[in-house]
Amino acid sequence: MKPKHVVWIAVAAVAAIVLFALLRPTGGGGIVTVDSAGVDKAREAGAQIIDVREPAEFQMGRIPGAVNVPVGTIETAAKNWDRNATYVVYCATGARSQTAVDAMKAMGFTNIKHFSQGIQAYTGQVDSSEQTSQQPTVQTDGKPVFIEFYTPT
Amino acid sequence: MEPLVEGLKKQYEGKVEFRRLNVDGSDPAATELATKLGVQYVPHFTYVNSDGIVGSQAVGEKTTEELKAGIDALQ
Repeated sequence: MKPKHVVWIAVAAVAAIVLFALLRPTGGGGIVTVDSAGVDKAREAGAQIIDVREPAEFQMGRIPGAVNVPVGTIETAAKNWDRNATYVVYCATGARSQTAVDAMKAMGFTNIKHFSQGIQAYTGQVDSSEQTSQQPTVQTDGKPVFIEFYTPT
Repeated sequence: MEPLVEGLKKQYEGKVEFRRLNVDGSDPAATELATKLGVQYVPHFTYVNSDGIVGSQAVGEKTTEELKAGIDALQ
């Protein structure tokens, strides 16, 4: 093989590697900051909404569909979560959610949308515990019910 | 979480109904309820008042005190 051909093959290989790096699908992932509209967009796309405030704050009002994972429990709670799923993380003003995002990032989560302005900046309708008529109901025998959903280990 | 939840069950016997629902797909009713309540990750805890209204939900391993706080808020 002529030296000239070797050079062209090397150039083509480098170009192919660069193109692959630029064009490979990323799934829209990464750790990004979103605003209120971004939260709604992500939720509609199927993202899991994580509220890292304390339960009492969560009770008072949360972004519809959010689950409560207080920041102090995020590492334990997220242990078995899908690392490639998309999560929206928020708190009241952005401080606790930043801690949670950092922890999740260190755990290998790749698609996190940080609503850094917090629920105080959410412009959609907040789901409040007082809006009981909009909440799902569970059949009871007149007593409070505690439900644990689990999978066998 | 089973021993912890069983301990609480004894503690609240007669006052609160405890349900442990396996959502690995083998129990269609459990899966249906989990879907209705938006359960995506386990363990997932749902606190329901006596009228059947979901008061709050929480995800991840919890301490006895954290679970008790959620249960006590229902009564």
